[in-house]
Amino acid sequence: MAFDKASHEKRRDELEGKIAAIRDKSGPLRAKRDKHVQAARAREDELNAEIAKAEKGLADLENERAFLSRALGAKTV
Amino acid sequence: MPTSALTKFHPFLEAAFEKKHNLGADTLMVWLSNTAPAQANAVLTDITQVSYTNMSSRAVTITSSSQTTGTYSLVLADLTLTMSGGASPTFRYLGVYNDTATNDDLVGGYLDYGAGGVTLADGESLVIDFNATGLFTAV
Repeated sequence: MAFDKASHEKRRDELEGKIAAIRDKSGPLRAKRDKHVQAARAREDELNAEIAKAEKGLADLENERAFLSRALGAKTV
Repeated sequence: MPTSALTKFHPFLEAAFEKKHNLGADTLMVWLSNTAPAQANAVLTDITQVSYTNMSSRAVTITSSSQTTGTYSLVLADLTLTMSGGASPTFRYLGVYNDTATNDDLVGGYLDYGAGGVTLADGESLVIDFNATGLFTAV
């Protein structure tokens, strides 16, 4: 490749064409993927909210059980 | 009481940033092993686990998954493992994995009980006293 402005511009235009061709192919695939992921995440968020509601207070119960287990001589790490 | 610093699993942060984990909501479980893990371990099948027969649930409860001024921390409730109906095998190493992740990816790192490990008799308990400031932090 020659190191002059015209050559650089020509190569830059070639690269822009190649890049655009790849993005033209991958763009619809990305859109399809994103739609799928967003729908799945929306459902995941709903289920996570239900789980959080069902497990409200669980961490406190676990910590209290551990506290009593330690008092009763449990091994610890 | 043996205490242990967390030895980091190197692939963990990449897994976290490439959405294998939602540590605020996924199902986390404890694994136990009597074979030293490698820091290159990434998923549960990389770990040589002991048998969990007669052991209570290894499900871990997430206390919080949050950041403060840019520092993230995962805080877990202390977990009590109790044997009922038989003794445990000897184990020395323990850690957490993500049971929701497709490949049961390992979380954070592992703890070392120390030389000789630990065996729990029937009816005996082990409290895993997770660090109150977080199993790990990420800046």
